[in-house]
Amino acid sequence: MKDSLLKLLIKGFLKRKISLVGLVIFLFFIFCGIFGSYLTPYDPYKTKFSNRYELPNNKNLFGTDWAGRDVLSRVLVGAGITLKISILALCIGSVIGGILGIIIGFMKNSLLKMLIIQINDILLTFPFLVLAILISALLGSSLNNAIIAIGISRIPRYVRIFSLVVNSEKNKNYVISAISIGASNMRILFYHILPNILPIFLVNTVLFFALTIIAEATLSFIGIGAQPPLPSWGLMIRQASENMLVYPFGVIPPSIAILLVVLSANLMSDGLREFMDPKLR
Amino acid sequence: MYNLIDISSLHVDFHLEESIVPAINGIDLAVKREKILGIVGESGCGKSVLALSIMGLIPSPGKITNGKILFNHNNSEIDLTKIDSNSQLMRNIRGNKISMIFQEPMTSLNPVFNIGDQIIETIRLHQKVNYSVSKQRTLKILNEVGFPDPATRIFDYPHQLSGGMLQRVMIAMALVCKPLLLIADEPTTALDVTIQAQVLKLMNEIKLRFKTTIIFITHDLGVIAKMADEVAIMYVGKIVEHAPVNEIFSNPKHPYTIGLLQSMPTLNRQRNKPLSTIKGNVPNPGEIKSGCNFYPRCPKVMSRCKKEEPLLLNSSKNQKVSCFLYN
Repeated sequence: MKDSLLKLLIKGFLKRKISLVGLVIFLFFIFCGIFGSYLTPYDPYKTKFSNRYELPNNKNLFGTDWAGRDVLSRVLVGAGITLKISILALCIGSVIGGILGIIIGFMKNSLLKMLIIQINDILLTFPFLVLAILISALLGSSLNNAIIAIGISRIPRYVRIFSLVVNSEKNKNYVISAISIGASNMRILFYHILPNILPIFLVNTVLFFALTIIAEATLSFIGIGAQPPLPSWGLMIRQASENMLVYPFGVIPPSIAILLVVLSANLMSDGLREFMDPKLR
Repeated sequence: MYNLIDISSLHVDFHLEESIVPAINGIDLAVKREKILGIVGESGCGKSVLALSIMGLIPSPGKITNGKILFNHNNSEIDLTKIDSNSQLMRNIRGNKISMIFQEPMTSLNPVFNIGDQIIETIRLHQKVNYSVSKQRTLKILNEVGFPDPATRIFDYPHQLSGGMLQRVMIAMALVCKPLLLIADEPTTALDVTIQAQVLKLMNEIKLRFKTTIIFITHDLGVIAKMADEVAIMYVGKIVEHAPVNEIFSNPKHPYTIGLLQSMPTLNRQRNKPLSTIKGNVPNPGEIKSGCNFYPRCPKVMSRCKKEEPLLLNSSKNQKVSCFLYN
């Protein structure tokens, strides 16, 4: 009999236990992202120079950094920043880029379509980071502008991928038969084609998710992303890596946090794929 | 009784970068109500393009450049070539008044939706009924097309069903809104012989039960003999002979029809005798610049055939043929 979508989603996750682990880690990350600033044992911005470079101990579970700040508190607050970066950049990059891409892909061949694709190809020749740096330099340096820049600079890639995917999908037999039962263009695009390309969207978005966190760290490093003393994970790694010879442990907590989040997103996407492909259910 | 579909001097051209390919080159065809019209021809002679042009589904870069396709219903005539193919009017006709069955049932259903939902979608696109009513109708139609145990299998996915079952689903989907015209574009080509027989039997039953007019496209003359009331033989974008089915088989006129019938293997044929064939290949549309399209392959070619194009004219009361041998 017919299962509800929610039931199928749960089934997909239960079938792959490892995805369930990913889901739990990811939910924990989101929880920390939202409530992190209430859970911190210490003020993440309060420096204490008598307490620098402490290894993990009873008072500071993750130790302290070069300014004597509690690393656990900073990682927890950093989760919120990372969550904000990834959600906003994904909204700008994946969602806008994806929607633009599928609409352009669905357009009939015309001069306009060719023009859009050519312009998009020109944008694609800029390396991702160069484009992001260019845009955030134009917007001015702040975390929000960095996020917007990361999102926008990902749009050309999405447009490219999804215009091609939809272009090949729209000539498939199931689309023609959907037209033949009288479905409208919008219905065909968003009801018939979209579920078929969602797995591709998902894989790209998870890859982009990891890239976003790393790109933010890079932008922070050259001074146009998050500004110190904001505890962004990327910024924390950069600062800790400067003092690595004195205090090698410093890079580990934020690195593991990034690793776990990216890994959990990947694991989760496997479970979602299981849910989206009827052949795997 | 007037005709359901009247096609007159239809031209469909494919505008390629280097040339224009006339896939359909002046077709006049009447489809009679509640009859099965068989359209026969070799691959690449425009059968499917003809079907798609009735549905308004000609793939780009194809275009209807001339002619009319009149669709008569409720005592009014609609010219299907004049309607924008994305308009509300055309969408109301598709799947509701005219529906189509495709060659490959395995790829013609959306792989991510179950079959029940796809049939229900068809109903709800055209009729204002709620989900449970349309589900009931879906179960009923699946039952009528001989889908086994629809109550438990209605929400199966396409990959869980065999080709024959999927073709039944496609037929159910095409019939669920009780269309006036059903276009079947080689519905049995992708199926094995036993399933073919079942599907053909089903389509004959459908014609009687639903009073549906059917255009049946195939290259299998055996199927045509069993199914059709009338037959139109197509060759390179044109109809060369159009007659009732028994006339075609007992008294074929056009040399191409005769050639097709002779190439059909029969069981009581002499074993050591080679199978007869029509020499040569189907030319590309537009390749033959003047005269009859068939003259390079015709055994009875005359000098006139190379210069003039024959017209499709009555050779007897209800048999039309386009050949200089007869008119």
